[in-house]
Amino acid sequence: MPGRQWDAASKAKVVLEGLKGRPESAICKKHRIKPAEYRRWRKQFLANIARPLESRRSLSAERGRLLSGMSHHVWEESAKALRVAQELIEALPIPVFFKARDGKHLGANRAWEAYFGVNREAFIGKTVRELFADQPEVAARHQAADEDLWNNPGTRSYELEVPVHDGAQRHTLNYKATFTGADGDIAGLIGAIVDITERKRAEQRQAIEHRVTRILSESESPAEAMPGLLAAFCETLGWACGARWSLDAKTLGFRCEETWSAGDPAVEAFLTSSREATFHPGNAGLIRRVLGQGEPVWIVDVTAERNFLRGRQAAKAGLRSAFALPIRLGDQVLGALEFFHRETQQPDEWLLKTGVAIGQQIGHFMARTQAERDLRQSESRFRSLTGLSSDWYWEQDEELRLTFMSSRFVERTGIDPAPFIGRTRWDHPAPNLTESDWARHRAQLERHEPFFDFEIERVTPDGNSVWLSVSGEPVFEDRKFRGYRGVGTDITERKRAQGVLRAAYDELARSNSELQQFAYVASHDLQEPLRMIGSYTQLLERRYGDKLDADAREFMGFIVDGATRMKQLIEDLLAYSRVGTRGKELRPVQAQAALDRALVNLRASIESADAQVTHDALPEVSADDTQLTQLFQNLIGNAIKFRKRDEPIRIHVGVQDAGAEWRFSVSDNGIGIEPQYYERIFMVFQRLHTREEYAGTGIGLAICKKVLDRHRGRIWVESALGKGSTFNFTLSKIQKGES
Amino acid sequence: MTAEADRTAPPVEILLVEDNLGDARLTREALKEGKVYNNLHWVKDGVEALDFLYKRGKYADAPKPDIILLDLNLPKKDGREVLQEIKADSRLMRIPVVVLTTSKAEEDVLKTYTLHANCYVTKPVDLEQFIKVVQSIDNFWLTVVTLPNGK
Repeated sequence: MPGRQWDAASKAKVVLEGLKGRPESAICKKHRIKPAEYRRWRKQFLANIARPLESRRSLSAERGRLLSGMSHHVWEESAKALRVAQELIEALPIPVFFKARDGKHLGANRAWEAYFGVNREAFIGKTVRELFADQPEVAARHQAADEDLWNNPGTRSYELEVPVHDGAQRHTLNYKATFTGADGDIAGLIGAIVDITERKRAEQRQAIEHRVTRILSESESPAEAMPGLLAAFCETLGWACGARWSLDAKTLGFRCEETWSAGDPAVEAFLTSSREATFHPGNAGLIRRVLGQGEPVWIVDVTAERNFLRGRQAAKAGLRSAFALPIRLGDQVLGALEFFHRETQQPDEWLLKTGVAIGQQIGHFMARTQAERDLRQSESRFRSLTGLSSDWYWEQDEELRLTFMSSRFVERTGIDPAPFIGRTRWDHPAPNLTESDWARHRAQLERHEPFFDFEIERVTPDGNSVWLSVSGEPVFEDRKFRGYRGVGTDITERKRAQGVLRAAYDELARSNSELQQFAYVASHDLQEPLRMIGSYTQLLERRYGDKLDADAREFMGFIVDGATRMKQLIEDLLAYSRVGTRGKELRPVQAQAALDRALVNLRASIESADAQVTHDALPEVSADDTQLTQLFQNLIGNAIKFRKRDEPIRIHVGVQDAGAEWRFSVSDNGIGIEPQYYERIFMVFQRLHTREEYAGTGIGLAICKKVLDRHRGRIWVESALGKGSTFNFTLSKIQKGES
Repeated sequence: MTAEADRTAPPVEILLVEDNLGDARLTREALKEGKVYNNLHWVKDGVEALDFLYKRGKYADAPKPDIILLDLNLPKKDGREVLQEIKADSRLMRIPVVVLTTSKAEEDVLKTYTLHANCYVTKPVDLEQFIKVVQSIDNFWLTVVTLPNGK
């Protein structure tokens, strides 16, 4: 309808069609108007009808004002539309309100009344400052948004935390839009409130969990993680301070480990007192309750709660509400976190739930860091061990193929381990092991048994022999055989030393036996020529003595004497060599019996010298009885032989307990020996006197020493010239089970 | 009994098994100075000794000795083996055997073989002693003991 003149009523009708729900495009098509025009009309209409909603009480006055601008019919239509609009607003589930340009509230819907717990009569005509008299910061925020809108008309939205009907703080999203009056000027604004508390909390929860997760993933120990974690919790949620408590599973004692606060000295003082406090067993107290129950605990007012032991300190720090949550790993409680708020906080279901989740997260973290610490420690021990050890470490897979060989192998042996990797031990030759040796080793591994000190000889590329000693144990994972791991050590030196030692021992044994054989044969065969010399010299003297002069007879005397002495020397040498070759096995013998036999053998010389021989009670010893007899006989015989001519001879055979052995002594009051000869007298044919003074070849003490060498005993002399001698010797005690 | 009376009896047959010329001569000299009328038969090794005892070869006409003086260290077959064979043969085992040893030690060794010689004598270096030893054998075995072959 081009050129058609639209009056206000017609425009209102068109706009009302839209308000009833007809789409804008359909309206524009029907009335042949442009959408922009339609929108302008609607804006004007809404600006005009909003005014009556300012106050029902001022409705009649407004009606008059409206009527002055439009016909009665239009008013009727408008009033009808207004009712529709009012119904519409009332039906909205979200709080909606209007306010005039002067900031005074004009109206609201039922949802608004319910949300704030305020009757609209009590609110219309009030400014935001009057409404939020006790929360100036809320009022200021609203007012600032309004100012902004007045200056730059249009729409605005902003978030704000406000107290609602039950006193709780709610997060709100405030939508505001300006509207104009009939004159086209900004007449006021319409606001709608969306409660975004749940969304906000979900975001907070997500933010906390995100921060907690990040802190935990970046930390290596609870001590490192906790301050940041407590800070994240407090800062995000507005709590004043927090602390972590650890529980000692053995003693059930608990201790405040880490704390966080924004830095308020009073709060810090409270935390310090917590850290330093000692808690005695019992059931009271916030932390003990949490640890005991494994559930979070909320205290609305710690200053009024009997079941809170630090109430006085908390009050001093200005803290009111407390919230503590358990750190859990499954059913196990590892500790607790506690938080304090400066203001009274009602138990918050959401926070309790979030706390439990975070407590579990920390529990897992602590278990993980403990496991990691254990692992690091174990690895560090392993590194130290392998680093310090001269042994190497190896691993085999389930097919018994070598999969790993530590570098110490090549360092020690000079053998490149590469050819051994991926192969079994028996894939490479070992000169010391036969097929059946390998088969036995292999069978042992196939039985999954541990093995120890398995010796393998390997040949290096340059042809040298390297001896390895390998030990290993089977590895099982989930009861499944996974292979072997173990250590190896280079025993080449030991083997070489063993070989050298064995060769030396064999050589020594052979040469010893040869020497004894030689001594025996030599001394035996020496006798015959000696006998010829002696006998035929004497035969000469016997037959032809009367034909020889005195000199010749004297010379022949020397020949015979020499031969006789030579024979004695040989006999003694034979006796000496027989100590080693003809000795009997050592067995328990009564030393007393051996001494008695020796005294019987010496009876003639004891009697002729009138010697007095006394003795202690002698024990049982481990010895060759014949040689023990000879030992006593030689020592007592010497004591008699080397007596003082002018003194009665006294000999005492004593014995002392010297721990593992017996110490025997043969003491006399004879001529004594000078210290410089203490060693020499035990050597073969060493004499301190001429044969004219004392007879003998000097074999007696050498035989004594050899007897004691064979008995693993020692012999030594204590003496002073002219004051007698004491010959000491030791013999082993009878071992248990030896008899 | 006197030496005079002995002249009427047949001589005592002595078998000396000794490889050493000097020792053999000494034994002979020592026996010469003794009282007993004897026939000394001298063989130089163990094989010869057994030939003598079994009257083999050139010893076909050898008499059965009344006493054997046996040296231990002999060529071919030593005194131990000879002694063993004598003591294993019922016809010979009753002949007294005097073992002449070079040393006391040798006597001990021989005893360990548990061969039952009737007597051991260590050859002395001193002639006087040797003569005494031989004469003591002479006295003991030839004049005191009644020998098994009925003399």
